[in-house]
Amino acid sequence: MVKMLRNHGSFSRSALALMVSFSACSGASTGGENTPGDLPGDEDPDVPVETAGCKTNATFVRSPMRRLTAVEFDYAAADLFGEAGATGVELLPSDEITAGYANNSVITLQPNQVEKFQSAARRIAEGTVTRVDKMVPCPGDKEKCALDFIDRVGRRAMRRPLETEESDLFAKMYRDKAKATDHAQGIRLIVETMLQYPSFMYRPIVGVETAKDGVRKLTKWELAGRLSFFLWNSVPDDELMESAEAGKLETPSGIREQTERMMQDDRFDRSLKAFSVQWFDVGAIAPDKNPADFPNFNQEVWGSMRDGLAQFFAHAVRNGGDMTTLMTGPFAFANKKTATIYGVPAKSDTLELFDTNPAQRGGLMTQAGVMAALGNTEVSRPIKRGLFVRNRLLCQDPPPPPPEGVPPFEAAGDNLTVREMLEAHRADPTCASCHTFFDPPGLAFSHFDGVGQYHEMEKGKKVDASGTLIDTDVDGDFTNAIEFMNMLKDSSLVAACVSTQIFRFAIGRLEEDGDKCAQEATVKQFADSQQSLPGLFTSIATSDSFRFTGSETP
Amino acid sequence: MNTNKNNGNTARNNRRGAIDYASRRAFLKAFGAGTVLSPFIPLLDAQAQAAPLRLIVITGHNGWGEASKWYPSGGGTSFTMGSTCNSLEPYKKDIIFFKDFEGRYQSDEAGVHPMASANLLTGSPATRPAGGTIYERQDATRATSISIDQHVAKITGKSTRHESMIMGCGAEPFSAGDHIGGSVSYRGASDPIIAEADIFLVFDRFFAGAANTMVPPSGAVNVRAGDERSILDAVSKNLEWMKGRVGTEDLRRLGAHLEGIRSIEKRLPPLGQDDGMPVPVSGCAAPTIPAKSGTFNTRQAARFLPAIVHAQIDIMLAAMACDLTRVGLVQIGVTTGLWPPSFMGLTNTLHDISHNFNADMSRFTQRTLQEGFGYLLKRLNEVKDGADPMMKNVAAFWTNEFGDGDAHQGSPMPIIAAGQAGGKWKTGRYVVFNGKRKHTDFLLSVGKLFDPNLSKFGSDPSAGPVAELAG
Repeated sequence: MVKMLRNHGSFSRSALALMVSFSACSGASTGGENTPGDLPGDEDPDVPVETAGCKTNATFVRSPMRRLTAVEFDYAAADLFGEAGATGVELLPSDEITAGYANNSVITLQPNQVEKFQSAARRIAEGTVTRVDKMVPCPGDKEKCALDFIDRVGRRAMRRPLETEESDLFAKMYRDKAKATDHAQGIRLIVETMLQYPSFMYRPIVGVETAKDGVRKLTKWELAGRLSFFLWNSVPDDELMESAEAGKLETPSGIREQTERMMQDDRFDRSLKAFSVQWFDVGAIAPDKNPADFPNFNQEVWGSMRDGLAQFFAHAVRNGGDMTTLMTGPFAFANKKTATIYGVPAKSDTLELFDTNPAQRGGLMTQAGVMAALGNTEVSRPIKRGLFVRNRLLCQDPPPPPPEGVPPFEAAGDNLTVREMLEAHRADPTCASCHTFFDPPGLAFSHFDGVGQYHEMEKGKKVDASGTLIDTDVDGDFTNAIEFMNMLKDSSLVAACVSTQIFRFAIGRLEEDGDKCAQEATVKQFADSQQSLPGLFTSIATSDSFRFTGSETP
Repeated sequence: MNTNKNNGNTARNNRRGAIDYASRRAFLKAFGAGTVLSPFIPLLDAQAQAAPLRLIVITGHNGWGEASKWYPSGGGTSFTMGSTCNSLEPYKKDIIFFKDFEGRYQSDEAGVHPMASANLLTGSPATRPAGGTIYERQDATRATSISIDQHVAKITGKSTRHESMIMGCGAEPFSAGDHIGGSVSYRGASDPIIAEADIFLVFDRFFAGAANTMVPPSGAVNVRAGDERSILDAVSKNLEWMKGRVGTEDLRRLGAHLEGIRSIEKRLPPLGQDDGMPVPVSGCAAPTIPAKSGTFNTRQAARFLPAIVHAQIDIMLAAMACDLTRVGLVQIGVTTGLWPPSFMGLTNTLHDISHNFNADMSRFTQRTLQEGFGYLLKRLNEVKDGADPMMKNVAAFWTNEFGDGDAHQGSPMPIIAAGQAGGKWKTGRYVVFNGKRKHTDFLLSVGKLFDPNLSKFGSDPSAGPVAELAG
């Protein structure tokens, strides 16, 4: 298995291609050649795969309709109408987070939020007036070009061909407007309408009945949309729509072919970013830090940390990384704003790849953005970090909140290190039962302060980051974050949890009993592929949970 | 007395732009005029009309801190505020301080925070899915019925341009763990409203922005409104088309979207008609809010809470003075709350403070009462409905999902009422209940102010009005 290609400062497409074809072979449990028709489910693509050894009586649950997230709206507008960043993402309604990921699957739009989309659509559409000839190249009859534009772009925007009535309505709107004003204004009106069009803004998954009761198969158009938003955070391109139209997304192998193509496209970075910052809960707005302790920390530094985290993850996936890369890879993307924090000689405003000191920093958890998000305003934050490891890396439930009368751990004394306070706290048996569970995985990161900088000393004492991990499949002692993450990289619990996180991002809901067999198959394929990260994306995209849905929530 | 001669001057000179089409509508409506303003209709001062009753809700979260600092001393009409509520001391004549309500539908399961805040204004038990870890379940916690502000807004919204103004400071779910379930305002079961943090967006929505761009200068043909109309028409058709193709859960959301479209359509001027001339109404002006510059960030409650909350209250009262809405809510903070109130020098998160630093929790509650409810009371004395302070025609209250936040106890639940509610509430009193009053009783009482026939609100079949409100 090829590991990280460390000499590549930018994403290596060839390395990815190599990994993808490799994972495609080994990821297929039939072990056949990398040709369409070799995946489980290819033979009878219209019903879920019967996996040997996996039985569940539960059926798939309905996938709730999702509204585009703010960044999806922006990316889609850029892909369709060619001006990135025109939306003003911060002016759109806040995204609703469920299952840890923004997917807007419950909340209804209030009138004021509808108005926000109106305004965004207007801003973007007005921006197209001066570049209409570039957006709709038209040497001949302008009306004909406009009608072609409506059908071609409309199909991608709505992820289905326009109905005749819709096509006619858009055509009439264009004609009336062009007649009253001009061609550019006619196109502007179409752009403005499409961006507010519910078929653009919402992603319903309804599916069609299958031979199996309660199981519905996604239509080819729904599948194309789900795939493009999973892998690109945006609408499909023409090729994906053509492949859907030709029926090629009906089988797992057909989906795999498109998935592999799409993962080599630059647009894949958007999803890798969206996923990684949400997985690690690193939001757009800087966490508040005490300026007395961190005078140089601000929104710009935070932005660099956040992008650096996303690039770490993207680099790992793009270069065919595995769990070792994710959990321990001794590298970081830094610029001059984050150079000191990482202890690297970055001089540029642009993020660049640097080796980090492998004895100090490695893997996603030790990226500055993660440590800062999970850091206090002043000191390192072991409980928050420990709970995060339990919840987001191990997918474990934390114990119930503290019973009444538990003293604050700061009560132990002012001059103590955080570890000493926690030790005093754990000496109380009522506290110990929970804190032995989540303190150690947090204390492992004691060397990292509130903005993620590495320190050997805390309050004049040498930092002690040792501890004992319990209640996992890799229990044992560690002395620091590096050792701790080296334990986690071998954990099947963590590997399965990574798969679960990507599942939630892809499907837009929590996993349910009906997903059990599909999830187990994905986890097995991940293990069989020697934990190929790109292979994991492919496995999820070709899994039954991705291809099928239920009728209504049971 | 106002005439159409002084057309727009004062409003246009306002720093943030003209009173727009919206005020014109409010103005026309106030006089029962049709859609066309005839120059021959004598123009009366808006305040000659009886001022409408408004509802204002301010919420705090995670409890009141130390109980000993919470309650007033004394009783009846002679009382002194506790130290946490000292900012309300100058406005004692305008409040009814209650000791205490019993919070109904409390839950004691893990991750109770969002369940408590979903129950707060709805008076119904909350719900959450079974799957995922406790964090995911917290995120997905929902109320099971409409909240009182939205119930009232559906009634009063028939007469105003906007049904309600729901704002929040540090209440938005910026990340997982800051729960959607932290919403307090609900349009219905599982339909939370995320409180808007951005004062500029709210300002533009009520006083400029979308409405303004639909309004051409006097004499021009309203091209923009024509576009809007045809776009909204296409959008409505598409929504109807989709409604036939989704399941019942999704149908609900499409229906709400359609409702939003309809409400926007209603605000458009009639086709082809010039309806854009701004008309000022006496006493109705756009508020002054902080400039959009420097480091000021309207979403960064941790640093800028006082300025944000003041601006939100100013915008709300200005909109109410113009009768653009009659229901306003400001959610200050959020249950759990993962940000530190560093504007007042506190470095732990709200949630940590509520559990581990009781004295700081009292300080935080004191300060947010001062900047929120206290500031509201000050302004309600200053803003006039004609000769009267707006206080007279307002039913306002402050509440919190917990009394003792550390113990996650919603009983006792604090509620401070304010305003004379058009003469229905007798203020200036510290009321210690003789027997039990439930928070659902209070919600019902508020509902009855706007809907006298209301007999039940939320899920509590035994709720009855709080007689002590009237004295």
